[in-house]
Amino acid sequence: MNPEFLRNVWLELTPRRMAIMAVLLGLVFLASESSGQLTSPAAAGQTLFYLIVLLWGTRNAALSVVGEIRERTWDSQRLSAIGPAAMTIGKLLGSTIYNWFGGAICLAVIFISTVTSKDASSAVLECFRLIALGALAQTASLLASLIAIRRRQGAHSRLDIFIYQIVGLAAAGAFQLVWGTANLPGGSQKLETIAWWGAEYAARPFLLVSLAVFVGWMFVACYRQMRVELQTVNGPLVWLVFAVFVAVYAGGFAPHIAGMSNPALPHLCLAAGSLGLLTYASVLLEPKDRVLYRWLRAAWNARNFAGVFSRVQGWMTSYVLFIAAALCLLFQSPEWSGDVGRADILAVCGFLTRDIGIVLWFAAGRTRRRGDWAAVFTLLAIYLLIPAVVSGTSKDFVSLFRPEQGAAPWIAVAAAWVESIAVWGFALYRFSVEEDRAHSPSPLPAR
Amino acid sequence: MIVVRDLIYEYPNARALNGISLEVRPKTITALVGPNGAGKTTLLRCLAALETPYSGDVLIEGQNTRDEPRRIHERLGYLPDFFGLYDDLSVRRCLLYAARSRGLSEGDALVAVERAAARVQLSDRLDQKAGELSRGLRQRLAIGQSIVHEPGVLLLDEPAAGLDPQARRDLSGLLLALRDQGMTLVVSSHILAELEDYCSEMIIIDHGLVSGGGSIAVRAEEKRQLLIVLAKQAEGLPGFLATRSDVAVVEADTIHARIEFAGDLAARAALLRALVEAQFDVAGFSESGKSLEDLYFAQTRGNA
Repeated sequence: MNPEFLRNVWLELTPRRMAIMAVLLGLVFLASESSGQLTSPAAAGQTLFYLIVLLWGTRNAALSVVGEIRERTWDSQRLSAIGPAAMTIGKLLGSTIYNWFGGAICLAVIFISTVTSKDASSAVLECFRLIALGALAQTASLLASLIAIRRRQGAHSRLDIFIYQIVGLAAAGAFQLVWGTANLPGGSQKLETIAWWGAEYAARPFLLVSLAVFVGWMFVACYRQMRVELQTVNGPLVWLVFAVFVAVYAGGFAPHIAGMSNPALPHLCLAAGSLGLLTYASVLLEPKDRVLYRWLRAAWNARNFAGVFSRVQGWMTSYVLFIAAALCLLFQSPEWSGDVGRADILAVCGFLTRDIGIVLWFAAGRTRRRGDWAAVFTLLAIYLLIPAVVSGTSKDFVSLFRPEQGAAPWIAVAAAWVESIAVWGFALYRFSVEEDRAHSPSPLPAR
Repeated sequence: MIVVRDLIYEYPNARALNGISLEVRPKTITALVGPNGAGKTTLLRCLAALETPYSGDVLIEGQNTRDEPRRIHERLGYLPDFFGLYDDLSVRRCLLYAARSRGLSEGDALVAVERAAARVQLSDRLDQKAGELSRGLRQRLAIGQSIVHEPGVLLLDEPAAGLDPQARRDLSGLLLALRDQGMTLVVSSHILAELEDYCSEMIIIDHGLVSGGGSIAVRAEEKRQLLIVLAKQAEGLPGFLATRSDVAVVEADTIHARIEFAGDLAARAALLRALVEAQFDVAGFSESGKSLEDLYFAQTRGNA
């Protein structure tokens, strides 16, 4: 048996704790059964499942590695022979095994109730949804904590752990939001089918499959973070595949526009947009460690392309893919061959490039731990605050800061790229100043 | 056994190791000493393949930490300065988890648990919870976890911090026993007195560099230093000691002498008897406790 899982079982699944959980849940279900109108056992089971597996489980998942760091046992685990996959599984399932024990009791009640009131297939689907939802929330919480560890966020306070928990709950909540529209009691708002890449799919199975696939990706992300923790280098290929998957998945939801000579364009637009969002997310979340960039630069200078390849970050890959998608849009769209369409695409590319430069500029500072938040607030100010302040002026003025419909087409392009060059220049200068301050000459890496 | 070449480790704002090169001989206990912030812990973490150096190489039993860090992890034990235990687990389960997580099969792990418990003298406490152990016993358990898989190399960061004198003495005995069983140990500390009892070599780290350029033999294991102190001055003491073949005089005057002595306990008793029979008023006859400190300050003063 996976030793990490076994250790968690020793700690979490003691006979006493199991008996307490079983008795408490039994009493609640008994009360719900005898109360009649107040609530049904199935409804009580669902609420308890959310509380035990999602609310409590996300906390335990978030604490599974952070708790080891707090208790100073993480180094000995990093030194173990447990591989990253086994460690991820051991942490994810092991730390939440007590929650899943309680959840399993709830699922049994839900299954029996649903089979009695509806049919077996509905019961299976409902149980599958709840299990996948719990897995999504817990995996997202673990991932958030692992990302925070890589970013060296210090001691991991209770607030930090609460934030990791919220990330998991938000992921589950986002799914529930969509799922809710597919399960409205009736009326025109109900989502019956989903159009994806021109085909119609029944909404509920499509959403459940999507949920399962994203749980899988979430696990892969945890696994890759764990690899880094265990001193194993990640290449960029998995992120590349993930970015392409996201682009293809998101691109599939583009609506069919009648009369458009190239029906692939809306798909490409959505795909590019999703790659842009992925670039923002990754550049903000990944550690922008100056030592890593020193390595990258030294490997590049040494023409050590394997070294460069192994140190490429996710935001770099996403950005290149975004630019590639934007170029496809730029050159393959007969409808958009006019200046307006091309200018918009070029402006968006420029503003994204500028925004990456802003994030890096803040990351290059000495107070870089707060740098990402400062970058987020700066970007919010650029995209929301400044346009609101200058709303009385012309659209051309607003287009100096962000893409603006109705503005003179090439003003935004010129502004975006001039700002990009300036911001990148400042960021690189700041990096070099801080390098000098650290008195660290940069010898070539050994390999 | 351990070879470090031009090791550079950088934090984003500072360089912690500045091109360290050193070698640690097999089956020795090497003291890693230096002031606070000198880079000792960072060096140990690089040796343990817990940190990736910016450049340079660390070879453990011929294996480069950069190439196969997980393989290195299988071959060494590391006890950090601030370590944690699973307080709710019994000593047996703590050791069993350590053994299983180091890749031992279930059957082998059970044997390894018994062996490690015996080595750290916790066999009678296997069913006690880790949280119920005293500081010294927790230290023993932590070392037991680090050696349960029989590593060739054991790295210890400030292992005696917070221990009472008896626990420190027990720790010295344990480390010497591990060395005698074939292990190579590197012990980091800035308290020289605690290293005195068991270290045979010393590496001084200062400002991320090896001060003096390499390891210093503190003393040959077979030639321990003895300090002889007389109650009354005696002109003949240096001459008397110089005539004995089993003694090498390090320093001597009319009131005291520091000698290297190769003999066992019986030979030591014979030397004491000879001194008394030669009418020297021996007031003190003990192992010298200052050689490490002397060497350290001689080295660091030399560099200052």
